[in-house]
Amino acid sequence: MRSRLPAAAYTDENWFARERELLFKPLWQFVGLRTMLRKHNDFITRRLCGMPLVVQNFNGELRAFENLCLHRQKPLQTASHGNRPLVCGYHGWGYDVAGTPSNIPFEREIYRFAVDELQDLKLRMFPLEIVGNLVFVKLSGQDMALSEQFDGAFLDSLAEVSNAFDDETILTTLKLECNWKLIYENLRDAHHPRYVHSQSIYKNVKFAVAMDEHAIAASKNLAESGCLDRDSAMRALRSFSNGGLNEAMGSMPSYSWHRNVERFGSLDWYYNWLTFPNLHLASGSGGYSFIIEHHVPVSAGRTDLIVHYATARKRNRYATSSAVLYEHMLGGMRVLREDFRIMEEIQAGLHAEAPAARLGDFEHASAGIERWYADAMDGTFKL
Amino acid sequence: MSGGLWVVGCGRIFESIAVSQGVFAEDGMLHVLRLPSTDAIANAGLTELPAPSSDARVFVAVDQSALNYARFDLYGRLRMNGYKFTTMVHPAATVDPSAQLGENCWIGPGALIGPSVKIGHNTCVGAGALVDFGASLAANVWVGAAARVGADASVGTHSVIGADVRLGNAVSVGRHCSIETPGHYSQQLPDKTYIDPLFEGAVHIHGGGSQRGRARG
Repeated sequence: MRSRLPAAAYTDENWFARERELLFKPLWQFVGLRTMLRKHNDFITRRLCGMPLVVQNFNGELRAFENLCLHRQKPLQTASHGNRPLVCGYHGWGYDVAGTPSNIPFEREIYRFAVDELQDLKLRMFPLEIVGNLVFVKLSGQDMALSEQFDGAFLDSLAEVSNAFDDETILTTLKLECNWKLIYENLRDAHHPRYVHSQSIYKNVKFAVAMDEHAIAASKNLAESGCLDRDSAMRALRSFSNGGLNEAMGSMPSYSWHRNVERFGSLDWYYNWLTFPNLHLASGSGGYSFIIEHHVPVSAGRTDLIVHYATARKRNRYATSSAVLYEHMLGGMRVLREDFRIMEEIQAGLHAEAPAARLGDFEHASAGIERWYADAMDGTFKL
Repeated sequence: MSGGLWVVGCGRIFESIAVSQGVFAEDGMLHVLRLPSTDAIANAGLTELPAPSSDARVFVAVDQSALNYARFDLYGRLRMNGYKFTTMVHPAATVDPSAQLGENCWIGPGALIGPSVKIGHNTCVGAGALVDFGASLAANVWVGAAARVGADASVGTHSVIGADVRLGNAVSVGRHCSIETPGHYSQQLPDKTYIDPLFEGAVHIHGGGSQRGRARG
């Protein structure tokens, strides 16, 4: 079948701006790992939908604020992560757990704010939810519980796997020259690994397309009928995120560091969790280690990918843990580059008159999501 | 253990020794024990290796892998079992008499080790590399082919200085670093700095009681 999405859905900045408002801002988005926010004053900063965010630990309470000082709009935290009070480095304004200034040095002497003006000072705060070791935020839109966006069993699965993550994490950011949707379509495509990853991951994991006729029929029905109302749209949305056991591994390598961690599960399988719209978790080591991919759309043609690796929880500290993480990052990067070279080639080739994609039955999930997406974008339902 | 030299390992250094045994074994008693891969090291039985003896030496020849922990793993196990080690200097390398080399080090062909250089145990210096006057390489380090470690520079344990990387004079590279992008580095690099063409920007390790690293770019 022909894809509903024209090339403009991947290349047009006005389209991208609407997408941000109608889709991303109202949805719960992954923002970071709780393992990086364990201690008082731990923080991470991210920019989601153009909004500079800081997620900060205040004596165990996590809060998400707009990362701009109320005085002169300087970012309060400037590093991507760290441990530091929420204090502006420009004039020393400090903020508390409610986002109100707890300290304005020389306020009485030189600022002389009126009482009502002082009471009005409060950082913009965003709803925040924690699932296991995963932190989600929501930037706008209606009140929507996390359980409206994600199925309960899926949330349980996310909590279970992310609670297996060790606190020690390696991370880096890739700046990809492609639209975020291409990455998601690729993640849902089990047919490409035999071609794209034939010299890497496919050697050990023979990913196979699952032709689930019931799911194909349901996706086709969604693609043809669309979402009649918000309830049906939310039901469909919950079906977009799923995961767990994916494919059996051909062989299970044995490394000495495996003895030092608490393996997640006991099966020699590849695990995969796709969390719509911006998170992908996987374990290519049968539960000994995990990749956490955070997709951050920056523009129509740019997506930042924040890649984290963590092993399963350590039983005890061991000397080689940083080398283990570094080798994971090197190996993972080679596989990711195989994907992103193709995503970037597709993006570079798109133009206003490019033919729409042709989807086969095995791409039924993408076809259903496209219809849902089109209905969200044209206002058939509102998130 | 029978006398002579036993070379155990896999990879480029191992093979370069294996193909030119006569060059390295002055008395002709050089034996090689080839492992299938670095992945096999952790579970290698090494039953072919004779028991330790006073008149025999071992050299563990394993290339850089996992910040040199693959080589360290094998070297450490054999050392714990009482084996004695040698350091191998290729005949085409030049080592100043005042340089101090630890055990189980490899100095590749054409490498130049300057005066007053200190090199810790189990460290490899690749072909054509230069370690200049007064520089120090800690234990379990890798210096790639044609790399340069400037005068009085220092490299921390388990770090990797990749091929064609040039460290300026007095530059300090911390522990557990990997610098694989060729070029000149003139600033200090803290522990757990990772610079690789695969990464566009900074690579950080967070948590685990470790010092946070940072990378160029």
